[in-house]
Parts: sequence; structure tokens; C-alpha cells
Amino acid sequence: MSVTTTSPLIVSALDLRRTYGEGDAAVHALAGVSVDFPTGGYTAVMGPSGSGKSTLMHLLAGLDRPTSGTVAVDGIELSALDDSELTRLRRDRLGFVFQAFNLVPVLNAEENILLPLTLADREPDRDWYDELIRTVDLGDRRTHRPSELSGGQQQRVAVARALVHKPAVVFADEPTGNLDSTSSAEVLSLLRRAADDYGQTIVMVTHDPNAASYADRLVVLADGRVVRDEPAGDAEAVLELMKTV
Amino acid sequence: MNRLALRGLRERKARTAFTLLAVVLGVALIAGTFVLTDTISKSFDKLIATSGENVDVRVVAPDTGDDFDSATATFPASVAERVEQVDGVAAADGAYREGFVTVIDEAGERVGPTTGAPNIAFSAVEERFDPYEYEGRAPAADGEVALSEKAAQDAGVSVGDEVRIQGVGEIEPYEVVGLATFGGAGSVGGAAFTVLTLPDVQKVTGDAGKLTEIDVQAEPGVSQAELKRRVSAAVGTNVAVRTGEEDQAQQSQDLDEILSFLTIGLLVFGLIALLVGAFVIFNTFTITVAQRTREFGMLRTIGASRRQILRAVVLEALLIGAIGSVLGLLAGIGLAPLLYALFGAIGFDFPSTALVIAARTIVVAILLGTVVTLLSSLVPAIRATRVSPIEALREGAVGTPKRKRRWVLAFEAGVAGLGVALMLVGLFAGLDSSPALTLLGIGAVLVFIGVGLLSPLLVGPLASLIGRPLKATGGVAAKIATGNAVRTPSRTAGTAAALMIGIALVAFVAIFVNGFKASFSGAFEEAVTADFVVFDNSGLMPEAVAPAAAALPSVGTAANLRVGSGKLASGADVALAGLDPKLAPDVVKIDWVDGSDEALAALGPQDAMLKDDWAEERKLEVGSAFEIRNAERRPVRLTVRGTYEDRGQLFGDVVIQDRTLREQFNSKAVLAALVAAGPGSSEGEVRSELAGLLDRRFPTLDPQTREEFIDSQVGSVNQILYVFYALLALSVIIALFGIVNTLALSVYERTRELGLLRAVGTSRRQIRRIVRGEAIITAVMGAVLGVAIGVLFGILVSRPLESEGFVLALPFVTLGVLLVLGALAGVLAAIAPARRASRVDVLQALTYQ
Repeated sequence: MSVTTTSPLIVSALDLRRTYGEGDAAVHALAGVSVDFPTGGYTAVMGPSGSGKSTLMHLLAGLDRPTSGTVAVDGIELSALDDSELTRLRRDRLGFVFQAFNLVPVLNAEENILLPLTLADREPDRDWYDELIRTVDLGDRRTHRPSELSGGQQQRVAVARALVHKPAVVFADEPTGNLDSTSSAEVLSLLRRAADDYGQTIVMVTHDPNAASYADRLVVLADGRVVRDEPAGDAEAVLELMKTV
Repeated sequence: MNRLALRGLRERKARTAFTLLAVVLGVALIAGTFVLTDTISKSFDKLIATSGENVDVRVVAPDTGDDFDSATATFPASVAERVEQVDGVAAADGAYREGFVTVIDEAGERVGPTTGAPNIAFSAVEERFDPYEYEGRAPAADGEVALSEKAAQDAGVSVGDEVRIQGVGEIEPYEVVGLATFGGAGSVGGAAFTVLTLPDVQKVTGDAGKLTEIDVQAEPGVSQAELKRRVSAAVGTNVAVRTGEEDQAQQSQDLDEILSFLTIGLLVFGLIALLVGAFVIFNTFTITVAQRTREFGMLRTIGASRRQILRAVVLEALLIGAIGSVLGLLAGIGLAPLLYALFGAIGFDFPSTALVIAARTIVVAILLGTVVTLLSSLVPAIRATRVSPIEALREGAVGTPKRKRRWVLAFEAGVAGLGVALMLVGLFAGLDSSPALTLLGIGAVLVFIGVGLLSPLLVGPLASLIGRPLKATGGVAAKIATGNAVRTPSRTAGTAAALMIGIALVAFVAIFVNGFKASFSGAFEEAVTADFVVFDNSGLMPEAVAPAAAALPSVGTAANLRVGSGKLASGADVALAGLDPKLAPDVVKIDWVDGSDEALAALGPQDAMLKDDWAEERKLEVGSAFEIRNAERRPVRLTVRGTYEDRGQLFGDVVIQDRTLREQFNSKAVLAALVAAGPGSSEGEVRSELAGLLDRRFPTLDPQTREEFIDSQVGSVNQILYVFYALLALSVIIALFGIVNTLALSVYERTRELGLLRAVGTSRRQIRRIVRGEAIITAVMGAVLGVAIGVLFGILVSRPLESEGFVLALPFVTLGVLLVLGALAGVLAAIAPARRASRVDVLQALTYQ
């Protein structure tokens, strides 16, 4: 599946700026970023440390507010939303996968996966859930606690959790940062499959060229600006590209 | 979300258990108090009801039941004859109840409690009115006695034996004809009682021709109210007439009033324990919320609303509060018999029946425990809702503590300041005792909270101070321990604050009691010049001791110090002391303001000496006349002949002639006989003669030198002190659980760090030492703050008492012991967490995330 420019935009950012501190001590984490994410795309956001890639993701997901500029998710202007509206947006329209898995230790795998629905007080779609469980290959581990699962398994639970409520977009923050290469491959294929099979829009921040090679599109940031925005190649190509930044 | 709270509690068993205990102990004491006093009250009510079955009307002295320490209120026996004449009276029988006697067995030992509780004398009445059941029979002729079963059995006395009974007069032999039980119990409220014929009771109490009550039964068809009307018309206004129902209600009300002191006293300790528990709960929730920052952040990113987060934390608190309260209630029901035993051990026995568990007990216990837990968790819960979703994406879960804003500090200082201010108002505003005590209590709570809030500021300096001796011996481990204690000052401070409360109150009580002892000894030494004191702990000192002692060859002077009470026209009580004017200057030294020993020696039967401030308050001075009413409401007119200071509280408000007090105010008992050696007699001579006399005629009494007497009185205060300590120990124990909790949570949080320390070569012993060091610093900090606040309270409370002769004397040894105990408490609390820390698996810890 390839990006079609005619697809409606799911996330769009216009001239985003985010400044920390004031005066001389001010740090411009983002210095004017405009970027759009169409429906169904799997985008990797890369960049060296301090390039602003994490800040960009925080702003896109409504976790932080920009100093100036606007973000719209699924047609909704985020700056107009208050905390409870943002909460509802995250609950209904967004999914998250974190580097540190962030599962609730006292809930088992199934309960963790269903948590977004539980929070929204919604009934799970059983067929969709069964399919998800099959996809993430956790059939025999549903009732295990996170502490009884390997890192890769935990992250697969996290991916299922991010998909369970069919969000408009999934944000993944270094999803393979804490995983060995085998587990990384499993999780990345899973995200790839979500994009291919379910048309899931995914925005993934990573510094791992191999991870980025699973994406369709590569956005590279440096010093708070977008310096590259092009289709992602294989790991080698990504690595070469990053050397030029 | 609900599941999250439930699971969390089940998952973290140890923490939940310790947090629960913080609620359980306080609630248990509160529930136990209610159960105990309800049970006592109910069993007495039952006794009152059965004992008054056939009493349709009861005639009593007018002031009966006003207070329970004054002389027994009596009226002339002739009233009974008039009552018998009243139309509609089936039977009337005059009785003398609640006199005091000492019963002595053949070995010369006291029959009945030896702890100071009195043996109460009752006159035998017609069977229809008799509340007792007898094994054997009731005394029918003079010289016969029935003893309460329990006291008799304890002393090994049975029917047919001979005992001697000592009242206000001479000791005399009696034949035991029966063992009495009251409502099935062998004692009245644990106290012994003795049944004699009416003339015998009147003789031993020195109240010949007097009655305290007349029991009246109505003829069939005459209602209680009707009979009361007729009897009232016949007897006039110098006695009070009650229907049987009114009498029972009055008795049970009098009893409840006395019990309410016990209830309130114990409840205070329960509330203190709950306050300490609240600190522990607050602290535990604060720590766990901080540790779960990332979890809350994650929940927020995937769509949990602030309200849902709040609900999760509050639900957890609600569950802990509810479960803790229920467990506390159950523990309280189990605790009631233990409290009963505790009070029994110091001489306050109560009758025991089936435990009464009132609905009020259940509601108050559960509501109080739950609400306190909920309130304590509220601030941490709100803090949890403030966690921004972005926290989920950060590495390192616990954020660094923010510096407090200035207005927050000002607010905290304000709370402590308001507390001190309320205490000062309570102490100095001249309020009645109950609002004053309430203000004092609220003030103290605010001081605790204020200091608790401010204490994070003190953590740094105190930790480095306490850490210094540790560092000298503990090396790097102590250094890390100190560092850990300072790392999250609010956590260390909160944990220490819980301990602070218990220690502060223990310190305060120790300071107060020490001051009391010092004041009492000092004042007694100054005011009493006699060489020997004869004193009876049960309050029944026969007045015959002094005259008998005076006749001994080696004795110079022996005089009674008599005490009694009267009332002013306003109804206010007046504490009276009676001295023999001729003898007094030889045995006491009064601190005259306007007066002299000569004036005392010349004191006439209608003269009085007044305590200086009491006189001033009433605008009385030398030469003025005033009236005091006795128990029969007869006014006694007195003229002021002098004023004195009385730091030792020995001479009451008014000193009058011994005879006046005895005859006009019906005070038959004396407080003590004061004996001065004659010229040339040695202490040994006086002692042996006095001891011989007492052995022969007053076998339960022993002579004490003035110093021995002071020591024994001061020593008896210790018993009360120990009860206070036992009740406060509960608060200290809760605080210890709090320390364990905090340490365990810190160890859990620092697993990775501990692993690192182990990896670079720290031994298990050193790890244990680190944890122990932190515990000691925390506990000693609590002890230091506690002792400081205790001293502050001691100083504050002693100010208004200074005029009453209270001397502030700090018990430095006790306070030092408290600090050492604090350190030991730390060691104790550290055992389990230290072991856990030392067992951290190095590899696992380093890969732990």
C-alpha cells in the first residue's frame, strides 16, 4: 500500500513552534514545522537527539500545546479543546505505543488491551478483539500479567491496546527502544500489518533506521525543522540518508 | 478503573495491610470505648431497675446526686415516720446508703479492694426493697454483717466468721451472717459492699438518727405520681421526693455523667490514634501516587479523564477506609474486655455482662474510619489527577520535588500559629473547662498538622545533625542513608510527623506529671511540718486516729486534716478544710497573705480563713462575712479572719474549725492525721509507738514519715502515667507501621539503585545498614520534633497553672529516653525493609524497568 495524496488528511500541522524558556535562555524545540499525515499512512519521524521529533509528536497528539501554530486531528482543531475534550479525543481517536510499554501491572493482558474501551465505558467489538488477539499472537497469554510476559509480548499487548478502539491515528514513541532485534521485528511487522490490513494511520518516532525502514514515509527533523520528507527506503538507505542530515 | 483500585490493593498486600492497620487501631480504640462504656452503662441500668422494683417513691436528701465526692447527704430519720402515716403507703423503710467502711479480716487484712476503691456500707431494708440476694441471710440484729460475695471470697471469709469493721469511730467486731450478691454480681462496679443494720450503719458513719433515703411502696391502685404528691405534701421541702421511675432515671443519668468522663477520655486517645493514622495514610498515598506517576500519565494518554484517575485513587482509599473500619470495629469489640482489664488493674472495676454493641458504635466507627482515610487520601488523589499525560513518555518515573511557593509556606506556618493561638485562648481566656479543653485540643491538632507540613524544611538540617554520629561509625553506608533521607524531604518529614504526634504527647504527659510531682512534693514539704502522716488510700481515715496518737508519750501534737464541701448561694461548690486551731500551728505551716498563725490559733467556730485568689474573686477580705450552705441546705455564716496562698492544694478554698466542718457540714471522714514528735522524741520512738497503736486499733493503716508519704503519693501518680503511656503507645505503634511502609516503598522504588550498589561491591550488611540508617534518621527526627512540641505544650499548659503552684520541671532523663526509644523504633521498623533491600537480585535489579 502506498501513500495516495488524494486521501483526506488525518493529522495536519501548520507552522508549529514550541519554545521552552524565555529570552536568551529560550530553546526553540520546534521552529516552524508544517506537516500533514494522510489517512492510512505509516510514517517514521527521525532525527538526531534534540531535533524536536518527540516535541512534534507530543504536539500532534495533544499532549502538549504549541507556542504558536495549529494542529488538527481528524478535522478537529486541538487548540480549541479543553482538557476534558482532549481527554475524550485521545480516548476515542488516538492510540499510543510507548517505548517503556506502560502496561498497568495489576491488570492482565486482555484487561490491558481493553482498557481504552473500559475507560470510555464502551463494549468491545468481540470480532475485532478476537482478530486483534490473533494478529498479535497472544491467544494463550490473555490472562497473564505484564510481569509474566517478555518485553516483546508486552509491547504486542501495547500495540493491541493502541488498536482496540480503532483510532484515527496511532502514535508510537520509540516502540522498539527497549526490545531485542527479534522482538523489534515482531512489533514492527505488527504495525506494518495494521497499516496494510486495516488501513491504520501510524506516526512512529524512532532513531532506529531499521525501524524506519518498515514505514512508507520518512520525515526527518533537525534543529526544529523538517529537513527531509520522502518515501522510506530500506534500512541501508535510511542510514545513508540520516548521515546526510 | 474500579478493578484497577481493587487489584492494586490485593496486589500490594504488605502495603495495604500496613495502611489498613493505621485505620484499624484508631477505630478499634474508639469502638472499644463505646462498647466498654455502653456495656457498663447497660449493666448498671439493669441493676438499677431490678433493685428498685418495689420502690414506687423514693425520698432523698435535696442535693443527692449533685456530685459524687462530697459528704453523704442526709436528713433526719423522723421524716420516715411522717411518710409511713401518708395515706396510700403500703410500706416505707428508711435506709442509709453509701457510707464508707473498712472491713478487716482476722489476719488484720482489708476485705475488699486494696487499690483505693472504697468499701460501701448499706443498711439492710425490708425484703421487698432489698436489692441484694444472700447466701445465708441479711443482718437482722446489731453486730451482724453481710459482705459482698466477691470481696469475702477474695479474703477467704465465709458465713459464721468474725470480721472487724472500722468506720469513723472505733473498730468493732461483727459476725458474718450472709454473703450478698447484687443483680447476680458479687460486687457493685467491682467495689466491695457491706450490709449492716440501720443503727450500725448510722454508728459507723457517725450519722446517728440520719437517713439518706426512704423507700416507699404504694398500696394497690395508687399511682407513683399520686403517691409522690401525697408524700411531698407530708415531708415538706427539706427533702426531695421522686417517683420510682424518676429515681431510676436520675440514677442512670448520674452514672452516665460519670461514665462520660471515661468515654471522652478514651475517645481522645482513639482520635489521636486516628490522627496519626491519617498522617500515615496521607504519606503512603503520597508516595504511591508519586511512584505511579507514569501509570497515571499512561492512563491519561489513552483517554482516562481526571475524574477517572481521582475516582481510582479515592476508591482505593475508600476501600482501605471501609475495610479498616470494619476490622477496627471487630478489633474494638475484642479490645473492650482488654480495656476493662486495664482499668481493673489500676482499681477501677466495672461490672461485666454481655458486651453491648450499639448501632451508634457501628455507625461512628465505620463512618469515622472511612471519612478520615478518605480525607487523608484527598490531597494525594488530587495530585494524581494533575499528572500530565506526557509523564508517560518520560524516563525515570518520579519527578524531582518542587520547591514550595512562599504562600504555601506562609499558609503552613499560619496553621501552626493558629494552633498555638487557639491553645493560648483555651488556656488564658478563662473559659469553662469544656470549651477550653476543646480549643486546646483543636489547637494541638493544628500545631501537629502545621509542624508536619513545615517539617520538610527541617529535614535537611536535622538529618545532617542526626546523621553525624551515624557517619562517624557507619562510613559510606551512613552517608548514603543520610542522603536518602534528604532526597525526598516531604516523604521523610511526613513519616517522621506521624511518630512526632505520639512522642509529643508522651513527652507532654511526662512533663506535666513530673511538674505535678515536683509541685506536690515542694508544696507538701512547705505546708506540712508534721513528722508523720497517717493516710488511707480509700479516703476513709477514722477521725479517732489523731486523738489516739496524741495520747502516745512520744507524740507532741497529732491533728486531723479534715476535708469536706459546701455550696455558695449561687450553687458553686466550695472545697472546705477543717483544722483544730490549737493544734494546727504545730503540724502545718500556712503561707499567709493577710493573716498569721496567731489568728489561726484564735479561729472561732464561725470564723474562716480564705484562699487568697478565691477571696479576691468574691471580693471578700478580713472582717467580711459570708455564707456557705451545707448538704441539708442550711446556711452557715462565717467571718473572714485571714487569707492564705495554697500551692499544694491542701487546704481547699476555705479553712474552718475542724469541729465546724464536722458538725455543720457533716464531714465525718478526715483526709489525714498529721503527727509531730514531742520534744526529745526520736523519729524511731514515734514510729514504733504509732505503729503499735495503729496495729492494735486501726490495723489497715501504717505510719509514714512525711517523706515516705510524699514518695507514696508521687508513686501512685505513676499508675495513671502508665495508663496514659499504654494508650499513647498505640499511636506510636501506628507511626512505626508508617515508617515500615515508607521504607518498603522506598526500597521498592530504589531497586535498580540497590542493585547498582550491590554490583559495585556493597555488601548485604552495608545495604541493611543504609536502610536502617534512613529509618533511624526518620524516627529520631520524629522523636526530636515530638519532644520539642511536648516541651512547648508543657510550657504553655503550665503557665496558667503557675498561680496554683504548678512548677514546670522538665524530666530530662525521660525526654532523653524518648529520643533513644525513637532511634530503637527506627531500628525495629527497618528490620523487614532492610532484609528485603539486602536480598535484591543484582542482575534483575539492573534490568528492572
